[in-house]
Amino acid sequence: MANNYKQQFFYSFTKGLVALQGPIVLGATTTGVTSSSINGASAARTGTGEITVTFQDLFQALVFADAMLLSATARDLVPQIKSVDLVAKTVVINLLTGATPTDPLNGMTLYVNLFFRASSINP
Amino acid sequence: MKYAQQFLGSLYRNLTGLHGSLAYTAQVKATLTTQGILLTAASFGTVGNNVTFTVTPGATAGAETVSVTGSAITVQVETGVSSITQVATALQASTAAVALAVTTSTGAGTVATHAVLSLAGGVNAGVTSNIIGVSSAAVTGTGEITLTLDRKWPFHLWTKCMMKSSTPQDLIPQVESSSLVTGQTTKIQLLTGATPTEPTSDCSLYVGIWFRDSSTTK
Repeated sequence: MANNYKQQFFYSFTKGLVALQGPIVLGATTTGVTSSSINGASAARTGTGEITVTFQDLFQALVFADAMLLSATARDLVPQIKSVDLVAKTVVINLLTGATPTDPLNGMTLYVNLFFRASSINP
Repeated sequence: MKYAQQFLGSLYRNLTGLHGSLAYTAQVKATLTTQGILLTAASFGTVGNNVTFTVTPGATAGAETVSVTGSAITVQVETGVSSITQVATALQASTAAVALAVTTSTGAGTVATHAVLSLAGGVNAGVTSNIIGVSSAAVTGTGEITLTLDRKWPFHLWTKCMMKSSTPQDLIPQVESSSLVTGQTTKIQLLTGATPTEPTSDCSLYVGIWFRDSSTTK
């Protein structure tokens, strides 16, 4: 690591902010998800161009989401959240070509970053 | 004063993130269905609710006449003889009427006179913010959302948005402008290709805006 001075914290107005972050390696259509490295969550292919992230803990709200694809071959795919179910503890992400859910290429990686509010107090 | 929670490390001093969601209400065109005729406002939003439709006697079947005054469309028919198709054809042929509402025939039969009816159900696009630190959110153009923050920040680091829609939509959020240091606003566009586009159904945006809340760069 470069010789930078690292600050200890960052701040948020959200109480009890919890981040689930990590890569999901996507396989061929029949394989679905090859591996997922999101601490506190698992991931699976649940439909054409559809990835369901299932988290282990109960959260009060999803306050931020980001997903970005890594692909050596350029691909017209845009991640878009389809649904959030805090009771079922799932976030469903569509990979869209235009408005059509489309399966990724084998070996693509989806980097996911989900911020939750764990506290029932807001703010 | 909001209580900022402590969180992960960063190379920036006093790194602060604003997170939350925007609920977007999609615009809707006003409509009116009467006697097998469907009128759909030409324009989205509540402006279409001002369009009225009246059927009066005085014409001969096959020679229905359409007049437009302001937002009022009036068609003269032969009561009980003019067919739905004939009336719809007359309305479709009127440039002035088409400028207010598009007509579709939805049934068979004849048309009788009736008093003034208004189109209804037109809804303007709208957005509400659930982002702490954002004082207001507004739809300020086609597929354009303006966020106004409740304070200025020393340095804006990055902004990220992700769309949520139960019905897949070909829309990608992009920051259009950012004036979060000298001002307190940022604009986000929803793009189809390079074209700002209104959502076709209600949706949400998850937004994160990050700042360095310090005049010290490191």
